[in-house]
Amino acid sequence: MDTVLELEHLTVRFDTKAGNVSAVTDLNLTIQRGECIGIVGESGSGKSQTFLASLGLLAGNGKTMGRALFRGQDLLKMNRDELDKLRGDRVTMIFQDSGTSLTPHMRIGEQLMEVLVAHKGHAPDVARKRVLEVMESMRIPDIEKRLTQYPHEFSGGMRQRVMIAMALVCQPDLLIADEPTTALDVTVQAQILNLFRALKAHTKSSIVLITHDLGVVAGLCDRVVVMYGGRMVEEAPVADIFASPKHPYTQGLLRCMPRLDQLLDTDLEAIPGQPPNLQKLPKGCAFAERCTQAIERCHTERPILRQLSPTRRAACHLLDAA
Amino acid sequence: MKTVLKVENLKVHFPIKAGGFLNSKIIPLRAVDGVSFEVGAGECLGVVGESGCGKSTLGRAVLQLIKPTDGKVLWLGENLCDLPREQMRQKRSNLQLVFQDPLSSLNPRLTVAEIIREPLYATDPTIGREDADQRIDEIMKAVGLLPEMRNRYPHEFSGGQCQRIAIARAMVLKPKLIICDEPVSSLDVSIQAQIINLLRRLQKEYGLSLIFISHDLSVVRHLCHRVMVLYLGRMMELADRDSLFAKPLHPYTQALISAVPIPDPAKERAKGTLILSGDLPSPLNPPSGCVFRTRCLKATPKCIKEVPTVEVLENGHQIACHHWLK
Repeated sequence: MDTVLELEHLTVRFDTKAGNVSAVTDLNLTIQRGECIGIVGESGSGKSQTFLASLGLLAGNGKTMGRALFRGQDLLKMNRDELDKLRGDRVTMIFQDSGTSLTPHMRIGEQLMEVLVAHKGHAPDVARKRVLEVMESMRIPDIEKRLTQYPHEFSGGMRQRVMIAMALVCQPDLLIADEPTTALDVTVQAQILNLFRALKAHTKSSIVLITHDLGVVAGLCDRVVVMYGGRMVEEAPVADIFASPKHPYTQGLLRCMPRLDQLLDTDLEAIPGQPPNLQKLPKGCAFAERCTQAIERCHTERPILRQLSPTRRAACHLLDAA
Repeated sequence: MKTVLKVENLKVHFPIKAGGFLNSKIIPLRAVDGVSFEVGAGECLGVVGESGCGKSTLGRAVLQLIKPTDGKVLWLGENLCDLPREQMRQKRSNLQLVFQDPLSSLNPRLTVAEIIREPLYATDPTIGREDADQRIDEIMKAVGLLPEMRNRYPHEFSGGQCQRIAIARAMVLKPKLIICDEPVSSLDVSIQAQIINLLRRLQKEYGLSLIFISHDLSVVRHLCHRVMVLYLGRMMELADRDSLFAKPLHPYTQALISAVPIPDPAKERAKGTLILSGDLPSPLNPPSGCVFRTRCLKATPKCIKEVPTVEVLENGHQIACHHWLK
């Protein structure tokens, strides 16, 4: 196996006026070459912070513990120069809001070429050729003209294509996409997801897709990690997570969404209660308060993530009993 | 079913300054351009479309929060567009609105009880304190808030709870129609379901009419009886829920439905998604003829020349397309 990223006991904490906030706690995860892995969870589940922390992009009051091994090197021990060499080259990240990720006063072409000049030391004409190639694979019409335009002249969907192109020009080992289609309309989302599908088929890059949309995960990912309250609660191959979710939270998530392939004329099976307060995480399972199947033990003792089969893990006391 | 709201040929045009410094001119941005529909008592009408299609403007124009440029909004037969301000204010107790972002639509300096009390005082300044308190408690319970929470401030609540407060504020006057503008879009999936269930329940219990504006087709299908599809300010298709989702006639509706990802790996990977090319054109410079033609797979020269008229089929299905039979 060819491991690209290995997170070991990754923990992220924020110091705030109101006290410590544990955004991510003891996360262990490996990502193999060419794999597309979906990270699913609600806001505050720690899905974005996990990867921001791994790449040294946390806010100033954040603290990361554990190890994040990229091809065997610990990213958390690197200084800024070493990280800068990797980021944008071997590891790239794209964000939800493409409008604020691009430099507003630089032409799109310059921004894209800059990446290649900085990381690969390409001459401008070589860089330009590669940029054209990538833009073409993003199915952007009228490329020559587009390269001379500024970000504000692009629509949201087009800007997201540029972001993906920028993330791909150096052929990274790992592409992290944080809610890449959430801000887009469905018909544009379909276009972008199609690009990701082509990308998966034609490159060896590993993709991490951070999203709250299980539909997007279903179409694209090989493996799924479900996070809740800063911890991984379940991990499984994509077919299994939809066919037989083991954790009550995953089960609840799948049941509570209205779907176009099923028609219900009853109420949705909502998950009761509110997401947990990360400043006051309970002693037991973070989901226990909202879990309809919770037993006494769930409130007093935190379940550990157990290996259920070679490819599946879940953290729930109910699975011990069974 | 009795019709409570009838909208006829509604137009909302915003004057926009365009052109350079010397040859600047005012051109109209046609946010809503000739939309007609009806809402029955106790009915939920879904309004779907992508950003910029005019769905929010439509909602606001119905409530006269934006003055329509042209057309009629008939509420129980009375044209709201002609009403003087004070009379319109009286009507508002029957017509309420719930916004997408619950936190920013609640006054941060007021407690929950004060927020819900405001509309009560606004419509009836003589209402007694006890009467008002009783109605506040009642409506808080109805939307799933504990009466103990009445003295807390909005920032102490999560997004889902804030949306409940906003719904309570809209419901406290026992309105007949509520326009919900993307009420669940900013909420987490698990919380979305709670609010959708709440709206469904309130609608049944109180015999409310709802106009549910959303970009999420799955949610609309779950909640609404009839659905209207908008594109660049024009109506593309309007039909009852089952015929729209089972057999969408307009190429745009077909593409919209096909673009929704299904949370089932086997189905999602097997289904062929109709991928539309390009983006929404600028509403300042909409395409001639059919506004959808630049992205349509069925477009012909006729679509460039002629604006398709709305055809009404036997089952009430309305469609604006030259080629829906093909």
